[in-house]
Amino acid sequence: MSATADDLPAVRSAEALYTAWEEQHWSVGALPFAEDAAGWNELSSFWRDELLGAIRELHAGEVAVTETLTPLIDFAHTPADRNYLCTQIADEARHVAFFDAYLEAVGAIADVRAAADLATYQDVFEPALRRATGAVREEPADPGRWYAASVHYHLVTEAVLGVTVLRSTRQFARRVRVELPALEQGLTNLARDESRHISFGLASARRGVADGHGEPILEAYTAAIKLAARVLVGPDRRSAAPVVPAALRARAAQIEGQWGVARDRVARNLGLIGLEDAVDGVVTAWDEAREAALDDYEATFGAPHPVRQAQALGAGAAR
Amino acid sequence: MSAVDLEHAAAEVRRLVGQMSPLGPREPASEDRIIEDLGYDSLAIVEMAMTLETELDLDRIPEEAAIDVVTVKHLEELVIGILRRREDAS
Ligand SMILES: [Fe+2]
Ligand SMILES: [Fe+2]
Repeated sequence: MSATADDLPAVRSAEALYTAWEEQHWSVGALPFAEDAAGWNELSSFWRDELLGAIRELHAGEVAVTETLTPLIDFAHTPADRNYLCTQIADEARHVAFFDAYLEAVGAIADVRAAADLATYQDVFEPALRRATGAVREEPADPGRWYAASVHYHLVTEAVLGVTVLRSTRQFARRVRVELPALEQGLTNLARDESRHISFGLASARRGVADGHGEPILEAYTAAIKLAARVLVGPDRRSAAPVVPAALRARAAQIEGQWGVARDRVARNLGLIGLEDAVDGVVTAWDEAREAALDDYEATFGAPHPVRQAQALGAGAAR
Repeated sequence: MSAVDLEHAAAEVRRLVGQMSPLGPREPASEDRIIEDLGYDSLAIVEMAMTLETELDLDRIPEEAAIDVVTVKHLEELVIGILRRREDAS
């Protein structure tokens, strides 16, 4: 059912990723946080809320991946993989330090720590990530478990959710009318680091598929992307739905654009690891999970999600 | 809601749309087109609409009232329509 590893585009080896890491260091302490602190005070409350919501999700994701990587390191399949993964955990710690320092600088760390509700990622995805990585320790001799954990970690948290939220946050940060150079530089550095992490995940999963572990990999991927669709919809978090139709449509288009980016990644990852044949089934599972999350949103808030409100508004009201 | 209040709301709409224009703060005319004349793109429209809703405490509008907005005048009418409906409902 799968393409052979030779047919697929090249991905960087663990050795090459280690070398790239040595050349791509950056320092949280060197970022101009004071400039962002000044800029942050000039942001409209709309943009402050939008950015803070996104940063909070990214922060929660970074904390979760920092806490869950060690089983993958302990039971890495080769010494080169282990060396690479040790660089990754240093990166993840740096990412947590970056968001901590950022939230502190703009005066939002206390609010984030005191928030009564969890970030959507923590609520919806993190338990599955913890289960999948914890299962590696319980049965280290089962390579399927290692691959299933790496799928939750690298292919879905990083290559679907991380990429998507990082991208939209960077767009927001560039779009606001005040300068936020520490955020801009920090997120650029983060994106570079994440691209190494994702390369490793794709190379590992591809090797897993080639070695006959396609089934647990696909099973884990399907389960994880359903949760990822739910994270992006955020059925337990009210999403602002403007009453001005043009604004509602623009808002819905912005959200749907983000979902579309994630959906493309979901499909593309499968092609890159040699599971091209599974794309249709997995994308259908993604769409169904998104619709179910939208139903749940409506049940919770007694009003449709802005994306559904915009659909109901239809093209009829357009001028 | 009195005519004075509605006139005040319309003036508030004009003030906010002018203040938040991506081209820089200005005093817009009712005939000004929000996208073409005042430089709004889709994200700026969302930001402006959300601010307007917070400041004027607007709630969801029924679908049949959802006229679309091209000019500042359309936006004033939409807001006044929402405020009137709320008045009628209470
Ligand atoms: Fe990270
Ligand atoms: Fe990462």
